[in-house]
Amino acid sequence: MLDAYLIAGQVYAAKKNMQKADDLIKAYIPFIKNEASKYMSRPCTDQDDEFSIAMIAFHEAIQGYFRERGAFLSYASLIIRSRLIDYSRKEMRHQGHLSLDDSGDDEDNNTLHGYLADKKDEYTELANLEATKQEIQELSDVMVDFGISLMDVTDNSPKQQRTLEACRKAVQYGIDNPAILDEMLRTRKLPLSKLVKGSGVERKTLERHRKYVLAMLIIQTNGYEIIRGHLRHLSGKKGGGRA
Amino acid sequence: MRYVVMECYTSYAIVLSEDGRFLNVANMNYQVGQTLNDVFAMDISHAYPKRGRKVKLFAVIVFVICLIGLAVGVFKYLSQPYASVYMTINPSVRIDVKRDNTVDSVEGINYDGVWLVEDYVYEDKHLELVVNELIELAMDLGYLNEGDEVRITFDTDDDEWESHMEQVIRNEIDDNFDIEINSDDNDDDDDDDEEFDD
Repeated sequence: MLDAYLIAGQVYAAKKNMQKADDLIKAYIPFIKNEASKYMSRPCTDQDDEFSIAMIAFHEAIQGYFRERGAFLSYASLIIRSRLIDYSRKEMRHQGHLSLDDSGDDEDNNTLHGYLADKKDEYTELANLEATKQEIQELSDVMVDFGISLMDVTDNSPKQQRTLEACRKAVQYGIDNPAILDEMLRTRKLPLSKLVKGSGVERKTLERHRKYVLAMLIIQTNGYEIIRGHLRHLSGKKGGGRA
Repeated sequence: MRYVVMECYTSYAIVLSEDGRFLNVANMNYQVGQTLNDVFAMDISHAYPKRGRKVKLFAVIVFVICLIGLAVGVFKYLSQPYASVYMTINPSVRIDVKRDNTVDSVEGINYDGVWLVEDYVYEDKHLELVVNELIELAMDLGYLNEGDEVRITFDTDDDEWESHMEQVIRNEIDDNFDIEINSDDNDDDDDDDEEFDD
């Protein structure tokens, strides 16, 4: 009884503090693995995708739990099983497709990817990965200057398509009007009134997703060509954004 | 859809999709900078189990109105909180209302309520607009879905104000959302008193 009370307290603390959530998940890895193993009917290893799914399900359970739902671990067990079922159904749709990472019946355990890729591609791929990693790190550092983090932006990211399109409209207005980006870089704040006036998007929508819009506008400034290249719906100016 | 891995944590990773969404997804031994074609997204709304086959999440909106400070001067009388409105959809929120029906403050009174109203801007807005916006926000965050049933209960000494505001809020919700509204009279205490009258 006391244990259940203590766990509930830890869960409530973890709901709002990502570090505490992370610590709680690490503390319950044996439980999470056990639940995944029960579902898989075999021991679950760190390399199994089911382990990753069970961990995120545990995290979802932390976010969705409240005391009226009974004991946390019983609740978490239900959520883990439910999400593993979701994952299995999703994977069924890919049945019959070969994975490039699969070695199949190859005696030397060479993957299909190994037969297809040549050395030059591997080095290029590695170089691209490093460049992207560096760009993302730079973006994170700049976002800290603006008082936001990737975690904040994710929580603030629009969920509904119509809201996403409204925010995209505001960001596009920022791209088409360099003075907006200049002001943002100078003040380290989102020029909300100008965006509302210029884009025609409702103020409350931009207020509600302020951090997300700010992050998307920062990406339009100089230095984030790889990330901009990844975003297919926004048409930036050629030659990069503002300094 | 392609995704770029932006940050990695123990149980999840943050990815950016090519249509501009930031998502929390299961971290399957990803590296920052990696490009993915398929992800398994975190789903918080899944953590609220639905009852039965039909999507019938019973949301209860309870409005409790209290009269506060009527005997102070005209200026203070007009600007003091006139009523408190408690709105519960699972997140529970208290809305203090001034005499002119503009909102004085909004406060979460349970954990989900605190989360719901974080960063919410209510200054100079009328009660029905705040109710509208909080319902929309609750829908955006997955607490409430189209077709769900909402129960509204008023508890106030000002019957005329209650009737008027119930109709205003009902019209506001009907115009903007596909939500069923039920309202109950909360006069149980009065009924009990009558029972014992000689």
